[in-house]
Amino acid sequence: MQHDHLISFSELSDSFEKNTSNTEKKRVFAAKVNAAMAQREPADAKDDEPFEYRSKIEKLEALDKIVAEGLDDLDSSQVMSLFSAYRDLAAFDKMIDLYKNTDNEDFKNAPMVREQLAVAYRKVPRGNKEQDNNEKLADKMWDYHQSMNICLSLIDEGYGNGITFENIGRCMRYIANKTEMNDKTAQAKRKNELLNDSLDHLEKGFMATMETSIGIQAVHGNILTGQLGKAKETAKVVYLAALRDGAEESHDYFCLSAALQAACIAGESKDVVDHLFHRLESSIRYKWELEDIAKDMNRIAKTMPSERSVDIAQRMENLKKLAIPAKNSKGDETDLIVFKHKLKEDRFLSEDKKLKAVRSYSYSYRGCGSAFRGTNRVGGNMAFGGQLPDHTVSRKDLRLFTGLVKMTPAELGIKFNKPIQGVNMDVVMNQPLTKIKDPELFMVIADKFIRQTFSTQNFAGSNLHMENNALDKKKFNAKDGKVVEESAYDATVKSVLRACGKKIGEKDPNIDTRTNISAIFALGMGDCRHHAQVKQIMFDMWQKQQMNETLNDMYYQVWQGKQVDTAGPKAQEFFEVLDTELRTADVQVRLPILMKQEEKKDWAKDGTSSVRKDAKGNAVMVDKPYSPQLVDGKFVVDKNERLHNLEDHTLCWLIKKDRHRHLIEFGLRDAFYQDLHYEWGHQNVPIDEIKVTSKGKPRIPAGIIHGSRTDTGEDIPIYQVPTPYNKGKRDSVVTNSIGRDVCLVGVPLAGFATPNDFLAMIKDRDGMADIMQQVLLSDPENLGWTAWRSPKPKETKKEISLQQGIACKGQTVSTTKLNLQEKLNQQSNADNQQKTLNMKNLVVQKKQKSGGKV
Amino acid sequence: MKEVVYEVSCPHCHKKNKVYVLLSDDFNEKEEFHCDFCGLEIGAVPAAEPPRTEYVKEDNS
Repeated sequence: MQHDHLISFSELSDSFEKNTSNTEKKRVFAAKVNAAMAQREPADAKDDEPFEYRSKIEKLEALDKIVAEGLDDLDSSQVMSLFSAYRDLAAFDKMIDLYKNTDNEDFKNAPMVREQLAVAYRKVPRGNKEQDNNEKLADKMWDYHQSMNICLSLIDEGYGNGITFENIGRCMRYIANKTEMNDKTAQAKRKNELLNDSLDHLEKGFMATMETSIGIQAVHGNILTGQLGKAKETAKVVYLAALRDGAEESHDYFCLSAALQAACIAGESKDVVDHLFHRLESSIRYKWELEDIAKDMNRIAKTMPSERSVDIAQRMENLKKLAIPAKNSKGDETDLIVFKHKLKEDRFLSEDKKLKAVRSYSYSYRGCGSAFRGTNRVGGNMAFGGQLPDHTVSRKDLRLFTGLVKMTPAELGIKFNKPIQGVNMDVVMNQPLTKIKDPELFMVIADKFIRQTFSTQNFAGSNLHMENNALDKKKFNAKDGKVVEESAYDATVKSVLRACGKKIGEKDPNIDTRTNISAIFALGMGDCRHHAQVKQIMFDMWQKQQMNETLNDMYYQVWQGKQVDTAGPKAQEFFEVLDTELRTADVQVRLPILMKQEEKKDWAKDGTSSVRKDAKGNAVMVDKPYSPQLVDGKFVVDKNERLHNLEDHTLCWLIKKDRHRHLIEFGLRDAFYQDLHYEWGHQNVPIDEIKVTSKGKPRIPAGIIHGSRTDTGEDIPIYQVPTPYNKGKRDSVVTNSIGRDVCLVGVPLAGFATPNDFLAMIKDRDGMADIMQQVLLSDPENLGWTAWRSPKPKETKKEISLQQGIACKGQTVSTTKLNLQEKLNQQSNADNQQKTLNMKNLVVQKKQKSGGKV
Repeated sequence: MKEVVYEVSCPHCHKKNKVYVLLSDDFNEKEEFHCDFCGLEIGAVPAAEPPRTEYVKEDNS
């Protein structure tokens, strides 16, 4: 197909059969690709059973066979799964052929696909035995140019990112390395020009994206071309960009290597350099990694000697002597290395146990927002028979949410029933969210927006307050005779899953249940997890805009030949944002109350379960989640004061540290539980009251249950502790997404082309509520839900809001604001244009100086 | 520029590979390399160009 068949939300209620059939077709296709890529023969062989590893040739033949069956009927995600499979096997020639042979325009035009194509052209080996070296070289040079052209087009279209700029820089350097001329003077001149061009692209790339991987290459480019002052100043900004991306807690050799080099060149403090050295030391696995960083540090120590760089270069040389080659099962030495001395493996550059604990059991999208590759997935459980689809956060999501945080609350349609204390609402409502500097104010506005969009207080007009979702359930008799309890939200979720062609309770790893967070938000169907995820993304994108703005200003100083002041006001502004983190945590809500009991089940890998028995053969009984024992509607207090898990919950924590890396503020900033049960919307927790277990897990006091709600009449404490499955960061990369599509339970959706399209859906709350109700009513497996919305929902009375109040002031006010906004935008555009112009002039001057072509 | 050869076992199929890496005298960049037998990524290596891998048949027999 030339274009994917995207469905709109309004088609959902009529799509049960069609989507079921499409799901089945896609499942068959996904199973074929998975079988082609199976590692073992037989594919399901366990470690202790006989099997053979399948070769790359077998896998490629199987993939080629699928391609030979025809690409015409495949949608972009299916073509992408083949493209990714070839990429996983380093079959770059096959990737190029697949791109040429498919007609799917959605696939071919997707920026992420084109980036990967550019990388494939750069990496594809050329030549065969019949060709001489000159022919091979000519082919490869053509590849490099083709690769660069793809990236240049992407940059022109506004899709320039780390991969595109870096790829151009690399191609130019490779061309420089391979350039040979009879006239050696001309050859040297040409190589020099190419290296300078490469550096220009890396510098422009760093200015445009502020991505660390490009920045460190720009540093080395400056060192190689003898511009040591510029290298040092650039390194200062690269170091800060590495902090923004979470280098402090990274395990990645390349990220840490860049951060350590930048920190040494920038003259960072000894404890920072030591921490990065120890993290790098514990992340090194191969001999070449150690040799590489030792060589780079050696060059830095020689060209830019300083106490830090000389010390680290020496320590790297010492480390080489301590590295011992690991032996394989036959006793032969390998290139894997181990160290005999004890390694320091502190994840965070802090001695504060509480700070480490709360950060270790939470996650954010900071790293994703900066050097994002592909699509990240937060796993659901539909493949294991559950009803929670995989949630994905793709570049498209980040782009859409970044678009939202650049808008004003008025544009977003946020309605406040009362003014925010201490704030000029007229100003706040009409300035882009990115102009807000106070994180608390940002979160108040974001919470309002999120709760309004998810209709938290009245889900889809059904009178269900989402905070009551676990309690406000109706009983229905299912077809199998069982009594089923479900809320309006639960029922709607199930119906939407079925409308997308999925069977609830079906265990099938080939079923695509990808659900973009944008799709969930636009539809307005979200529980605590979605509230937290949207808030996290909005906050991270808002912070990224602010951090990049200051980094950009600092790097602009470098372009102007000035020094970067890492203690100046711009740097302080950066650290103020960096040290304030919002992080999402999966927690158990624990309190000393008795719970109803149920039989404990042991689950096998195939999804079957058995009841656990004690020594006497009696079933072991355990607390039943979400089911407290109640007497007259009041919690029954456990006299032994033992804490029980009332429910699993997902929320955001605000974590603030000082420059000495101490936790100075901790708070619950839950977008979900604000009105009923818990007041977690804005609850600060005294740091002294946070406890850390011997295993490093935090126990957070989270308020009290008032005595009026307990059978003893006494207040009882509430605690939050990480759930057993909370491992901090838990997302994984999805391979069949082109990074552009927005899916609802695996079904690609229309209407997400721009942030404004996204906003139009977000604002259409009545329309989406009608759609959700209609999907539920059209569901053949509806247990008995009837319409709750009036026939003309759009004409129901609307609450008078402050926003409407502002709007009611008339056109004059709005126009004035618009004009102000236009002026702000014009000023901002003019500033950026002036910057670009200045950058261009600097490039021109530099090129003229070096005799290079302009 | 100089070429170095490393021997690495694939973490997926455990077959031994020779990895031919072209190193620049200056700055090297992150380049992924894949097992010549099963095709999957073994890891990344600092290199001046994408490395070449060769499955070592005699050691894997």
